[in-house]
Amino acid sequence: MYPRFRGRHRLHRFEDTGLEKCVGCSLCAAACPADCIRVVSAENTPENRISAGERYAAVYEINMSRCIFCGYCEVACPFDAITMGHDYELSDYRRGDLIFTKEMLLAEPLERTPLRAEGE
Amino acid sequence: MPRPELRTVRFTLDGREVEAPENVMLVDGAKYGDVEIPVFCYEPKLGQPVGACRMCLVEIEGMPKLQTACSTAVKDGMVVHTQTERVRTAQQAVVEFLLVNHPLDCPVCDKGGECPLQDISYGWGPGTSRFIEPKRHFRKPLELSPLVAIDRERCILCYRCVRFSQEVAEDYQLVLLDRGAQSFVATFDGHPYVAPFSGNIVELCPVGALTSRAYRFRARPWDVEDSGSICTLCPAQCNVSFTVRDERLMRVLARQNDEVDDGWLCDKGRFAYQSAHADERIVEPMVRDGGELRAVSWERALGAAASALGRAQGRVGALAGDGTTNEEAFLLQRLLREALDSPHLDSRPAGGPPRELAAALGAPALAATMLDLEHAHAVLVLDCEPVDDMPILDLRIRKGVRRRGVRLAVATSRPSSLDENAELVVRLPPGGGEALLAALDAALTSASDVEERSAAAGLDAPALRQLAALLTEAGEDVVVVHGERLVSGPRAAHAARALLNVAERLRLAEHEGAGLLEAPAHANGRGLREAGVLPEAAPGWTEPAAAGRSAAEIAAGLADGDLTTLYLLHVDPLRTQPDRGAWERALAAASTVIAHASVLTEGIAEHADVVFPAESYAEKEGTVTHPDGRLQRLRPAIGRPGSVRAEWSVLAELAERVGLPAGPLTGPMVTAMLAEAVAFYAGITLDEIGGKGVRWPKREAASAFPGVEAGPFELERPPAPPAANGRLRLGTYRSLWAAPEVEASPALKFLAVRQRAELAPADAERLGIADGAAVSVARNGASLAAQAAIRSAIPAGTVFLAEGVEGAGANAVTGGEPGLVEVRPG
Repeated sequence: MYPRFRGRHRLHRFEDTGLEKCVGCSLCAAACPADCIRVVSAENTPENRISAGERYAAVYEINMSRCIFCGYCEVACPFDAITMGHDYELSDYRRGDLIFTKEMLLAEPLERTPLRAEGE
Repeated sequence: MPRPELRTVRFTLDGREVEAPENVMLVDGAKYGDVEIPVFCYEPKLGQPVGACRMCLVEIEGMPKLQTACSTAVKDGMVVHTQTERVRTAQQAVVEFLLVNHPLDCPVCDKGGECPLQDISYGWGPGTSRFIEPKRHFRKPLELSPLVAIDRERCILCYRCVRFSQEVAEDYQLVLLDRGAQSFVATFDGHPYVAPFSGNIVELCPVGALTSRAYRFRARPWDVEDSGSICTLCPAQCNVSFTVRDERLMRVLARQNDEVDDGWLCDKGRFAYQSAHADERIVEPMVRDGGELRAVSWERALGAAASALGRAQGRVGALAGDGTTNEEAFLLQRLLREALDSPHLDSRPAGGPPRELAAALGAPALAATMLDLEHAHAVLVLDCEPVDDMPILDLRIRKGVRRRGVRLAVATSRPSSLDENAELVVRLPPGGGEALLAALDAALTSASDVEERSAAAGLDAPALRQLAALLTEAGEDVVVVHGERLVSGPRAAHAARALLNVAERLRLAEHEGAGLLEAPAHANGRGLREAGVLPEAAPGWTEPAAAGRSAAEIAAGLADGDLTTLYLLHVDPLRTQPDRGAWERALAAASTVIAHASVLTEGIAEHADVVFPAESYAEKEGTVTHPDGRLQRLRPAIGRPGSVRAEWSVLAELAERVGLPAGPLTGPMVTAMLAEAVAFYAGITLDEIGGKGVRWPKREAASAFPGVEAGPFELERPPAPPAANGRLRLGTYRSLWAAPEVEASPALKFLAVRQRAELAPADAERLGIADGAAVSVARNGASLAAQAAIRSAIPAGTVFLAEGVEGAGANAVTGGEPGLVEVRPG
């Protein structure tokens, strides 16, 4: 697998604070040519701080059955919160299971695909 | 006042000849040559340009320095360059300068995606910044008010919000404090900016400095769809655009229509959309079962209503109110008149003049438009408070006075917010409208008994003569704005005759820019009357086969048992009708009460036997009629929740079930039936109404308006008001915020009205009442608890209570008409 391969997306957290990088700005949804991303944002409060900015994504869903893996969402993201991962085994028995929620996208994926090393 | 004549000038723009109207600013003139000049602070709605942002700099030959296009008018032969290197450098410098302190937090900013600063930075900016120093910082985000959030770091000091507050709404609350880079928008001492029109600053702000708290982080411009419709929360019927995401209303924006709203909205119109999604909203039909309202199927609810109506043949009364469309009104009167043989229906809470006089007041020749208000020579505000009765009217009157020199006279019983703008203020005793008109009529005809008549009305004759002089001397275009209360109540006919006399003396019907404008009690008051929801007028002001009972007579009839069934279309009589005691008896005596309601207000919750869920105004399809005669079209923006059905179809199906032949199948079919039944609407189609509406008095079909005698009439002397004997005269007013939609909207809850008794300082002292103390207002055995509010502007000897307050409306003690009350501490 090449490192640049565009597989299933991943959402990221800041390593030091554990806060989500995504602020729910919806730019990925605007960039998406397949219209497969849905973002509903909400406001952080001091008691309930999810992301670093004022707002966070309360709902972040990607419909993998529609995604064309173009990577525009990654390009649009101003905070590097979403990147294309390397998972490609995405088949499932129900369409509903192909809607990935924020929790699924934030979780560590099963790395079944060894990356090809430089010059291999 | 004659409208300015449109003349054009020719000037050269970027080497091309362009023709534009005379005296427009270059920014607007350039649009005629398809050139866009970027602006931030320029907004014609706000009045004179200020040239604060410097974004619109252009090069004009013959002028050594660059000029601001927003404050330079086009002149014949002017040679303008907008694309030269000098202009481009200046534009880039301005954008770079504005971005020196503007944070680049577009991903979190609510304006992102619909932000002029973003657009102009892309279009005219340098693309890079040389600025590496730290930006200025303020505490953020802060509440400017419970409705508006302010982020001062994002502010580019364009002055738009401050100009709105100072020059349009004239609430004088917003100011710029401090100097230079440290300037910031604020209110005195950090008080919240609470005003009837405060939400407009959110729409005016060209950056994300002022944002709506209700819309905060709800959606992005590309997540939403816009849907144009009409706000039917008050008679102003402003044109709005609903922002819809996932079948939910997210916000309401103004949809500029100069002939209706001038592009402004009041806060009720802007934030009360939340009531459409309130938890307490009724979304299922309900039937009273074992003393409690229970959700049932449509079949059962319609069956229950139809069998009750069928049993009560000839003994049904109906009231229609706020939010009823012309189509629903037409079908209601068809149901009652044709199917049930009981023409007892009314849309005027306190009754009104008989048919001929009411039609004369609504005649097309007498109708003044919203634009007439602005261009009139003189405006008389008579017995109404525009900011409460029809808020957008208030802004229009202020605009006329401030920008066009309209001479304003205010004649009201309660101190008006327009007093300060008025050239002449006449205070009349509550309910003294008829007497004032009679005395004014005498003064206008130079009759000898002006003194006598004014003394009887409790007015001073010199003020009246001044008023008459103002109205005759100002010029021919006089607009009289009055409330429905002026021509209602037991002496409505006399008041209507007096008003028609005054209109005749001032020749309001003859002059194009003159006329009457009424603020009706219900949002679609004019449409309801023209569609025939009146006891003695069928659709189109024609004479019905049989005259029915008025609202007060319906109440009496129900209490006596002459009527058995009551049909309520968007009305809770305990809340909106003037005599609460009579309606409590009527509702208790009625055998069946059928109601269309969106929330269970007290009268509905306790007395309704069948409740049909009402659509919200964002779900409705149909037409409404503006007080100036403009038909406007409601279009559904969102789907109906639960099992809510279109209300016209409910009325049509009920009519079918009680024996009428099959009725309309679609909404537009009802509109066609209405246009056929109302002679002066003839031929109006939904396509003709379109997005901006059409004024029927301007159409050819208006000649089909029934002929009316317009006087002058011989006036009967109004009865002298009873002696006070230590009691206070009771006046009532309707607060903008006393509405079920306000109570059901979380954002507006802080404004919901509690009953206050407004007293003059002298009376309060005499009665030993302190400001804010609990008082009870009593009359004829009924009493009402209220909080005392001492206002120095209230005339001594009077007390004012708010109408329509949930559970504590003034109608508990008005007994149908204002009179004398006792006010006691405690």
